[in-house]
Amino acid sequence: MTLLVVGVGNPDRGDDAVGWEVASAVRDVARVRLSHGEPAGLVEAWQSHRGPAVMVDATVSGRPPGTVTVIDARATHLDPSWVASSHGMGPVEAIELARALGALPESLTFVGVEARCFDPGTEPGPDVRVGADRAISLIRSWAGRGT
Amino acid sequence: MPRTDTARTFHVAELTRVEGEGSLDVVLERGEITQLRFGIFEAPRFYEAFLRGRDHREVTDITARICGICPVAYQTSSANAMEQILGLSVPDAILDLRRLLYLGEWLESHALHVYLLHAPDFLGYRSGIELARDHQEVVARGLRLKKIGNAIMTLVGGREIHPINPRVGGFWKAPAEAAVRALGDDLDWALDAALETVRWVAQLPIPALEVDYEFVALHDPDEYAVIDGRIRSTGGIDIAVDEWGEVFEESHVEWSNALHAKIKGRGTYHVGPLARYAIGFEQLHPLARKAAEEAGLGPVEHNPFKSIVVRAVELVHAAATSLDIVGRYRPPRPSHVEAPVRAGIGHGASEAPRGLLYHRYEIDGEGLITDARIVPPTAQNQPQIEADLRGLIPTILELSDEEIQWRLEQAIRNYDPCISCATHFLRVNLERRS
Repeated sequence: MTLLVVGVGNPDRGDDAVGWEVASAVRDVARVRLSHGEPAGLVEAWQSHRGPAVMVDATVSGRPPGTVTVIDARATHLDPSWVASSHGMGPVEAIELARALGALPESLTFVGVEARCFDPGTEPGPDVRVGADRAISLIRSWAGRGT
Repeated sequence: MPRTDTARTFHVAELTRVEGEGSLDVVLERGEITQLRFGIFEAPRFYEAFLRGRDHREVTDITARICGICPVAYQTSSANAMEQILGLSVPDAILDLRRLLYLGEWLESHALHVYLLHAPDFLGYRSGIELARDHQEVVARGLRLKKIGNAIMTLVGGREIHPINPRVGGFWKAPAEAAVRALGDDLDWALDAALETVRWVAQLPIPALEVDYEFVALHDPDEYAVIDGRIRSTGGIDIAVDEWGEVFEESHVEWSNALHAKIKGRGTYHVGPLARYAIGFEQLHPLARKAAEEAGLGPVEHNPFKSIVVRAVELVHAAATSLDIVGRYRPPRPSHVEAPVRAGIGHGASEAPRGLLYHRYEIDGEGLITDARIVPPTAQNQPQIEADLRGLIPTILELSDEEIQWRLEQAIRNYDPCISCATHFLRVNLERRS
């Protein structure tokens, strides 16, 4: 079963690019989709996918930059305050909306990489890049297992 | 929220289901409102300042970044202004494509607001997610409508957020005829879904409130004005967009980082779906007009809570008009027009999903922007939102604190405020004093 990896973030806002960078790095082993976090698009991505899925995004939980968090998003409700959005609905709300609609894929794993800097025009910091590498390895191992 | 005999205090840390950060503070003394402030504390964004010195051709790309929900509005108003300076006459075929892109934005923005942001207020749900748990089919319909709007944005605009294809004079590239025609099936579905949306919202429990608004919107005798027009009001204003500054004025209030706009010598006014509907009812697509009449709407509606029904009527207009455009589409060649640079001042306006969006630019002989002024709809509606709340509060004083707070937030969401545009989260404080 093909693994769907949805990278969420903004490539022009420092550490917020990490979701896109991780997803882009696993294109050889997974079907990849890049998202700015627009909820309807995310729900549609999961609705149209029959296999397992991963969502990668930057987190702001107060832990050290680069910390990787893995959550079974089907079994756990995510904390909306971790994944920042300037709009009324963001990626976490998209997951909860998909759950309410019965539109979650057979498995959905949330991979968060702790971020610190979201300055416009900057790239992810070195700590975040280390976390990104760990996230890439994890996703590759899951794709290899076919989960 | 504590309630005592001497004081009643409301505090909501963040008003959700609005775009941006704002607050509402209300003080009641012996049942009288002694202070009411709808504040926007999102930091000023300085777009007008950093447009200065930039090439006039960059204006559509820069202003698109003001908002992720209504970038096409910013692109269109700014392009209109620059085209006026350059003396460009944009061919109808290009305008048709601009219209289609804009209506795509209306579809995605209105569907989001009607289904996920505003409808929960009417049915007692705290969020669109709660609504979705009990009404899966309804919310799924809203999401699919939004997705179709996004598809138009992606095809015509180059991407669904912050489109890159629009430019001064038209588009960098016109989409292929087959690709545009392929939108037809989805738009057929969208039209049916929009009609069902009108029926659905028309049976929601609509709170009673009548406000004597002066509605202000663009008007075009030949179409429901979206991409251009003259500025008209229900109070007799009928001016070219160039004359905005002669009739309207902006001022700063200490509790808001967004300027308040008023009609000179008169006061507050209302922009948005209710205003467009009042000014342009006769120009609505016949299917939208029929849907409005079947929903029990008159040609002018003064109840701000009926904005959700009018917004749904505009979904019908957007879907039906988009279908018409798709049916007659031929790729414009060239996809844009150009003219030699010349110094001048230009004004542009268009109807963003939330209302009239006015831009004014001055450029020098090199084509560099020397001055910019952007007046977004939420900034114009701020004083009217406060006036609505002043009218609403005395009618709901007998409700519980929780119910009052709910109704205040619902009343603010009548305007689908985009605080990001106006300068983002709303805090509500209501204090009752004896």
